[in-house]
Amino acid sequence: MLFNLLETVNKKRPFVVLSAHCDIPCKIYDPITAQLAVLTMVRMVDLLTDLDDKKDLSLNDRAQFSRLVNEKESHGNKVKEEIRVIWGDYIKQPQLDAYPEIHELVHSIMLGTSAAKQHIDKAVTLALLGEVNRFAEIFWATKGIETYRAISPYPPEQELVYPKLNSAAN
Amino acid sequence: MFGYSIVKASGDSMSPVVRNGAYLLIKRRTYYHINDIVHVHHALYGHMVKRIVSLHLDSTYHIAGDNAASLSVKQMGLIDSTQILGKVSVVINPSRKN
Repeated sequence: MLFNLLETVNKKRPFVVLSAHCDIPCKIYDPITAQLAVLTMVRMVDLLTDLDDKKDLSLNDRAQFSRLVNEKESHGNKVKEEIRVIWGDYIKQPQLDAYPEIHELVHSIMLGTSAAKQHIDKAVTLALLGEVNRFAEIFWATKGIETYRAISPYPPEQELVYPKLNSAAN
Repeated sequence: MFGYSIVKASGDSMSPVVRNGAYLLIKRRTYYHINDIVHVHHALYGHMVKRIVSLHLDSTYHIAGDNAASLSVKQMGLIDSTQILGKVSVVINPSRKN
């Protein structure tokens, strides 16, 4: 019961999160979660812009506005967390030697995510997507896996970096 | 408030004592003991919850996760007392079904 109460409080005013990650390391890393989170932010910006085109907002519209902003914010946090975990746990000296831009790129992603959270600005959010895609390219390159770019088969239909993986079927 | 704070744990490195998603009541102290579970602000790894495994005369500590495969003591290095933000006084774990 106390846990549920704290969960409710946490949803309203999130507590500081302490990392107790397994640090095994589990070796399960994939930037796609961060990429999809940015894609969601872009989609939320599109939907917010649609609302902005309306002359008068109904009660439902205003509730929708609140939900859209909330989702944009929470997915911004997800972008930061996912990138930080890969950067902090997976990226080590050999990857840094091969791609010295990683530190600056990650820092730029953190700043870009903040900017995308602070504004309802598609250009800012797409710029963030570009940086996260670049991070994904580097990530897969460090594993010796080629990548390709394709338009996501769902809204907001933006370009994503995907790994070229071999089929499991022999 | 009164030297207490509430934080949320993310991950299983301290499981089963601190399970993923648990809430922790942290109490700031002036000194800490071996086996204390503490809130650490690590320069490289950020805010973490770990256990003190050794302490030294110069007010430095070594910390570790409870799971054998956690980041090693060596990886986390020496922790200065100023990096320890408090001791975990109460653990409120999620129920097993969560």
